[in-house]
Amino acid sequence: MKIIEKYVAPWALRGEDIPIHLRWEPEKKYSLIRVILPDGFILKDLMNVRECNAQKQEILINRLAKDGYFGLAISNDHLFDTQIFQDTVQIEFISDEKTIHIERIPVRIFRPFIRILESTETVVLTDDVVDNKCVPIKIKLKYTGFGDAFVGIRVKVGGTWRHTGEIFYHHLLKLLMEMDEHADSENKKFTTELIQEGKLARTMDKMGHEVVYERETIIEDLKRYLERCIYKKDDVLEDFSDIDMEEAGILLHSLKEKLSERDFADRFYSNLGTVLIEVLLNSLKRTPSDNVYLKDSDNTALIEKSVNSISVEVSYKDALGNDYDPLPISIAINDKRTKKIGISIPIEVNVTSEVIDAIRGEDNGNRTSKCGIGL
Amino acid sequence: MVIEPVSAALACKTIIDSGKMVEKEAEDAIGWIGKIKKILGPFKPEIVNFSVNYKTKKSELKLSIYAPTGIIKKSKTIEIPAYQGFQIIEMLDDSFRPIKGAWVQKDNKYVLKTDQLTKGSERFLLQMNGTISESLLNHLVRIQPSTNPNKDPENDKYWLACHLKDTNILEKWWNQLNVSDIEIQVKVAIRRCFTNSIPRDVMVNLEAQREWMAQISRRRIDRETLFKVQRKAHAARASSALNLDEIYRLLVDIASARNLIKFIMVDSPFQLQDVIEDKSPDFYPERMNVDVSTELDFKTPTAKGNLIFKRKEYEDDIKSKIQQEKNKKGKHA
Repeated sequence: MKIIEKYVAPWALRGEDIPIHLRWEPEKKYSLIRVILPDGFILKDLMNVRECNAQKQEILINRLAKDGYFGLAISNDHLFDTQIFQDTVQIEFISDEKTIHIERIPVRIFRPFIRILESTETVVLTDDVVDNKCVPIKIKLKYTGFGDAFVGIRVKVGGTWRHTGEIFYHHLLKLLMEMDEHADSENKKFTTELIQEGKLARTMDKMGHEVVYERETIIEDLKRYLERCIYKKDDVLEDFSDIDMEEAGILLHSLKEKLSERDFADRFYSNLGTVLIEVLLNSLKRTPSDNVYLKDSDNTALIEKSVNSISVEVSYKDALGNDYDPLPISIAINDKRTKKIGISIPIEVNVTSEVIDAIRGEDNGNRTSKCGIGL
Repeated sequence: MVIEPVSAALACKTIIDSGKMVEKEAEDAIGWIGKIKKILGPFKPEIVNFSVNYKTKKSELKLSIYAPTGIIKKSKTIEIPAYQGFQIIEMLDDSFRPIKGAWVQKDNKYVLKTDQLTKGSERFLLQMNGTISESLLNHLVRIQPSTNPNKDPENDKYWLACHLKDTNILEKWWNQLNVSDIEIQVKVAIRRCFTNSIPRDVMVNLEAQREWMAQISRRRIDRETLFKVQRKAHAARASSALNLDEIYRLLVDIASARNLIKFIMVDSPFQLQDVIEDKSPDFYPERMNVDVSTELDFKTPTAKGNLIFKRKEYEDDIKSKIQQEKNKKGKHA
């Protein structure tokens, strides 16, 4: 048999379809094609097949629609504990119960891997804490492997798990609440320039709205957008707890109570510069290292009652939403304060990446970044 | 209780059965072609080309017919029912000149005005259009880009695979099938390029401006803190040489589709069609949607290749544009 093209998708994630095909000079010397799938692989699709049957991992193709071409797609949902998993699909062409041609096709599944290199073991709380800010918890992570990893951090204090990040739009709302409508000239100058150049409309357009130029309409749009984010559990919020959602809801409600449309508009416009800086820094900090996306740009453990220790959990998903085993960290709290009031402990995440080249099988150098200033 | 994963046997049956279901749909959608061939039987119709446009979901049939004067005279009227979704587009003579008014639509029928046919011409080319449903197209063609790219020191590479899935649906009637404009959308990640390329002094400046703006916007201002952050913000701005609005303008421009398209390449037989900005509330989106297209036919039922995002060049471009802006600012100062 003269094979003219053999293809297999060169890399895949767990659960991702792996397309495979063979093309040959049509000659019809075979009566049957037998495909043997490795254990754990499932059949997802067949190309150019009219009749087939299967038993366990063996698929028998009795008739093709047209001679000279055959394809299939397979996948594997298993959670592998190695960075690369490789196996072979065997395709046999059979005539008179004899195999006249065999193709062995390697299939490779990759995964992202995150390990904890180092983390703070004990946090000491003293009365010296200024502005309710104490020494941060430092977590050093190492990414190895292939594909994006979406990393989230949560903390258990006294039995309740909470996300350490803040819904970004919640953060923006809080900022707008705190700000004075009569903001500084720098901010106003920037806002005016943006409006004149139509750049604001472009920004709003990026927020998923039609381009609008009416001052009040833009604000109404923004509010509606924030409401949608908070109440309808947009993708960005999928992992937030009910407590987080409730808090964001209360904030939005109080914003509506305290500020008229006009006030909100003034406040938003006067502080647009700040809002845009927040948006920019948020997006920069959420990609601290190659292939790693942090769910939140700023993470904080909120301790409202006296505890001896807290549990931190680093969880991650791949680009298809597959969960990998979360990484637990236990941190002792040594509270030496005379007055034990609630305190926020910032969590500083540092990530190093070693990305595997799926074609050459090598890593691509070492890029380190800290989540925060001076990336 | 142990739940068995979907067995290969069940998967085989499901795939084949879904093919049979679509056959009925195919008959409904393009059955008119068989009927027209039958009506035009005396004129020895031959299919010259049958193509499906994946993007517009339109099919186009080119039929060659042999109609010398003798045969035309024998056929009193030549009528084709106006089947749903079907249209006669034009008729050409043997010199490929369009014959105006050859077919007229009357009472839900297309009627051939034989007196309009070019004298001396015996072969004619009839061009017709139809529509193809999305589910039929999905059964006809399988498209898949990789979810994640492979990264080497220079590029991010996404594999692209495209297959004619069930050639039998259409092969029953034709051997000339061509499916064009098959579109694949690839989500190309770009956000990390910015984190890698924005210089440290710009980041320091942004952080300092953020702190300063937040302080002076507050109702209750602590004079001492304000003075501290103001000095820090001024120093950071002086060393970075760029203001927020300048950074904003620059980044929006760098992240625009018309800039990004310069850093995208696709292997043949794929063609780059468009880059579309993602609707994201950020300065620059996490990903860009890149549309590529290809075509398949019975002779080439598969298309494979890569989309390449020249990541290193893009990062260098971000760095150099920021530096240029700084230099420009320096000259004006």
